Amino acid sequence: MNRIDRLGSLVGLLLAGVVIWQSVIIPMGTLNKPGPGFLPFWAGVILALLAGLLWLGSEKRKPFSAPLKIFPEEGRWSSVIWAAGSLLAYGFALEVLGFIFCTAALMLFLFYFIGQQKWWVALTGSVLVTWVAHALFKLVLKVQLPAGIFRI
Amino acid sequence: MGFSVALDPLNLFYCFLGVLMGTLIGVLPGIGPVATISILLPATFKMPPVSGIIMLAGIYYGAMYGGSTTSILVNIPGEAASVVTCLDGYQMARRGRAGPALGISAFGSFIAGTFAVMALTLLAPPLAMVALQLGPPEYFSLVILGFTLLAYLAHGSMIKALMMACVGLIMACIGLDFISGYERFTYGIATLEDGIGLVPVAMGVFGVGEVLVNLEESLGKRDIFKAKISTLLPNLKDWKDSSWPIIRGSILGFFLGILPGGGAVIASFTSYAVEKRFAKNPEEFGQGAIAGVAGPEAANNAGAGGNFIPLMTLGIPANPVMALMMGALVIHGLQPGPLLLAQNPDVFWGVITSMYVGNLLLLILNLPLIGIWVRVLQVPYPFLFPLILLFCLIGSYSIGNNKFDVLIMALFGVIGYLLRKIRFEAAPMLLAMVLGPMLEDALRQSLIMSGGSFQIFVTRPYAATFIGLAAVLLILPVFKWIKKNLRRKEGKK
Repeated sequence: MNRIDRLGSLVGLLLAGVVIWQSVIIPMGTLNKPGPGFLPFWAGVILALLAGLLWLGSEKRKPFSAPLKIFPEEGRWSSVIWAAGSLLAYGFALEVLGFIFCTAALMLFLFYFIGQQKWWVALTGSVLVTWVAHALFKLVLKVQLPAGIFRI
Repeated sequence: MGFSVALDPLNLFYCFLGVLMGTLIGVLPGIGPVATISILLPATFKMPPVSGIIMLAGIYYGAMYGGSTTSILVNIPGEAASVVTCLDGYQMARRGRAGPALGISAFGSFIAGTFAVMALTLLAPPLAMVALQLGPPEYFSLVILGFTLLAYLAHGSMIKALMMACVGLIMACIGLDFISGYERFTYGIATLEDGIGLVPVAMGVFGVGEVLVNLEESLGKRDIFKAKISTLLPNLKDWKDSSWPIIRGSILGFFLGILPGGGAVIASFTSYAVEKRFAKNPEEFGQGAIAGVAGPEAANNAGAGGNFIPLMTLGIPANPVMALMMGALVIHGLQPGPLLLAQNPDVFWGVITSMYVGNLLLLILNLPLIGIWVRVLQVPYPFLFPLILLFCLIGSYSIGNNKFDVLIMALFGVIGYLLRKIRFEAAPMLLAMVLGPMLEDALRQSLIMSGGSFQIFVTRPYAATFIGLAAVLLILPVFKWIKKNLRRKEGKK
């Protein structure tokens, strides 16, 4: 039995269920004038059918040679969580605190805590990268980057 | 007209920039052309449309050149299309023949790339004329065939690829319905009325997702082949052993590149299998056979060129890179497809002709700059990954100056990471996101035309052909499964 496929199948079935449920609320129209709910409904139905087929196939399929480990004991999975979290935090803080502050903080975090560099290397790297990125994107490429509450 | 556009100094500069960046990202494992094009797409907003497209195209086929460098020197493919080059390229390097491996890879890529552009020049206009005869039923059937082919050619399970295509279709439905203006799956969030952007999703899944996987596995530790590279020129025997593989790889790669789901990756794998099959000494493959480098490298570059055919003539992207190119064309106010040739011949021919120039620039760049690429490879990953993430963040924010795009990118980065864990490919999802609106529009128009009857898809010749082919591709795995089970039962008896 292939546990990875079973997990994928369950996620697919769940998503299909939600899509079908929400699609019936939207006007489906008729066959000779399909409405906005027509395609998402049938996409959901097909997804559910495929997820069901995947489940049935997973009974007979051998497991993958690497067992299912979303968080393997020896992997650096905590780095994944911290990195993803830092990106989300960056997204929320960007327009409030501004590009320069957020970028410097993010680079410092990534270099030091995840990249495991020495503190002075991380600090120098974060300052340098922030300065170059600001110069390149804001001044040269004229990309509008938020100044934030610090107005820098 | 094409040469006058391509040889314009500004366009030459952007072509050079594109191929240089493409080679660089091809050299660097951990970031590919999808992520790079999605990051740089907003930067093209301020450029003239044809310059932007020339640069983005240069990044794509440049990456095919660059990917071979890491395959040969580090045994890590810089690009998915260069996986096969690791098998013999690295072995050649271990035997002190890194130079000829790199050299034949560059020359083979140039020959194949030039062949692909010439074939594109010849085939694109007549195909565009045929495409003008296609209506909504034909486009619907063609997109269905495209999805089916993509799933059939997918590395993993066909069912999973089709599931991802359904997910992409559903994602394409988020936002305002283009016909009725009805809000679908927006839940009162104003930003969702415009739908989920392709670029943040692409950056997230392919850029951020790749980084997260690398962070988990090994923080990208790699051993780089250290011996000095003395000469890059293949000798006469190398040319003799490589000529037919390059020719076969070019032809095979180009035609595979036309297929949705095809392209550089499939082309390179198929070419390797073909060369091994045709080789006088197939046991040499995997031990440093130069044909095992020449054929696949030619095929992946020819495949990259072939990918442009369905986009430029039919307006249908063959893979995620082409989907982004399509996005770029649309953002610049251009309509990919048969009307592109009629309404914007300068863009059409300018892009194609720039590819001749780009291939020549790549040959000139790749050989002397190999030393620099080797140094770039030595940049430790702990310094590289924050830069990749930063580029993704800035790229996603700059699309609409909206933090929502950054959040979408980060979220899809996690989704991309999880998809790899449960062995689902993201490419079908991305393609379906791009083709979803076209599919829905074609479906609804077809049903209106036919008064609600699905017979319209089987009574019109082109539509019936496309649907028939899709049906064959869906049924083939079922036949194989039945045959396999019957054999197993006979074996037990």
